[in-house]
Amino acid sequence: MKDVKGLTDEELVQLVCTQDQELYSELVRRYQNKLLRYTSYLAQSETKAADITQETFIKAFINLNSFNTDKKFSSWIYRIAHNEAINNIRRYARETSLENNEQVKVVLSGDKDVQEDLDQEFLRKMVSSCLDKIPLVYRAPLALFYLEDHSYEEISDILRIPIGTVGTHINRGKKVLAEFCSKERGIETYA
Amino acid sequence: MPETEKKQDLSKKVMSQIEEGQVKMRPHSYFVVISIILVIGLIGAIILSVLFSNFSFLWLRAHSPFGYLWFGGPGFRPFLATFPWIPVFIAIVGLVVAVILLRHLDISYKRWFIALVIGLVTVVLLAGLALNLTGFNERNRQFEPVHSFYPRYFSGDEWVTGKITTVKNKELDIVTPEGKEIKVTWDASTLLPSGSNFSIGERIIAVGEWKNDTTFSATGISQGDANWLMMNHEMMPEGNPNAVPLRSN
Repeated sequence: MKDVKGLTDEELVQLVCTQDQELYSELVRRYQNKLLRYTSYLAQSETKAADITQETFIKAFINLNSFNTDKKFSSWIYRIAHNEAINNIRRYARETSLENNEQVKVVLSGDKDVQEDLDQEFLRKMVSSCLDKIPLVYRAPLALFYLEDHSYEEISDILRIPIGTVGTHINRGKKVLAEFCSKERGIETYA
Repeated sequence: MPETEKKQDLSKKVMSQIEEGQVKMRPHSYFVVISIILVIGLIGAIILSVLFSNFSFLWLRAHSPFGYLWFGGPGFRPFLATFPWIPVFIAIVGLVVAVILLRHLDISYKRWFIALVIGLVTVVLLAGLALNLTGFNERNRQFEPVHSFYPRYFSGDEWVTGKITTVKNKELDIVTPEGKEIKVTWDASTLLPSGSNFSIGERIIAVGEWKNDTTFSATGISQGDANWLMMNHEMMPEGNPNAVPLRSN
């Protein structure tokens, strides 16, 4: 195999499509841990996450020629992983329409606001420990922003929602997270 | 199984499927064709929607279906018969297909999607109205495939519409868009939502019952609104059997 370590993802995709399909293993190597982690947040199961991630890489390979190398490969493959995870969750009916969760509605209708200057590390820990308690609609953007370090623009590309909506979901997600997390731990709300 | 081993397995599983040829990459041409179909479908759906919103406006102007509702109960059946249900339905289907295809375009999620949909609906309605007002239907009346979407219900068992040619005491002579001459009679109990000052050249819609093939006894007469398009014989699709009045007697 050529020395491909110095190549960008997009350059690598170009080579996989035009020259050597075996180079795809480098892309798998680069993203398997990240995607396993992200899909674990969504599916709440490592076994399912492994299946979802494997299916993601297979679908990505089949459709690799549709990827526009002027765009970020990272956003593209996260998008496929996200869709796979959502389909998997729906298939097993583990999630209902969580936007309609009454408890979430009560939290969001309150006038309490989460401090914008909450310690980032503290938030990161809170997201990590309580992520499974909150609705999927907020879980995905919070995981991508706090745990996977994606920008708002990348999250917009992955979730296919406007950048403004990403910000709204993250802010609402923080509010829901603070409430749910404090109840879980039996402590006062962070807000 | 340790975590690292699981990850290695994942990589091996994916690559072994690729190497064994169980998984094949789709060619670039496949995606080019899909994109072309998507764009053609989107443009086609929008054109379909514009064309049928144009027909809807034409029906509304030619039949003035809402005018029948002034007569209450007796006006309900003429309203149902003259409302452009099929053109409106096809225009809506075209819009729904266009919105579904629009969702597949990369630009759709970058913006507020509802705004895109509102913009699309506005463009379709304005383009349909523009076609209708610029004589598109008159120019294309010879084009047979669209004949069935042209207005044609100018009289029925309980209604008639036409242009006044003679005004007499409690009696009007009218000519229908198909060129038939009808005598419309009325009395003190007739509903006249737009008054009884009829004049020659005015367009009217009337509900009531037929006394014979050429005489209609009206229980309600109303004048058409300012935007009412009075179809005339020349504007009817030539040789269109559907242009024959639906009246059964």
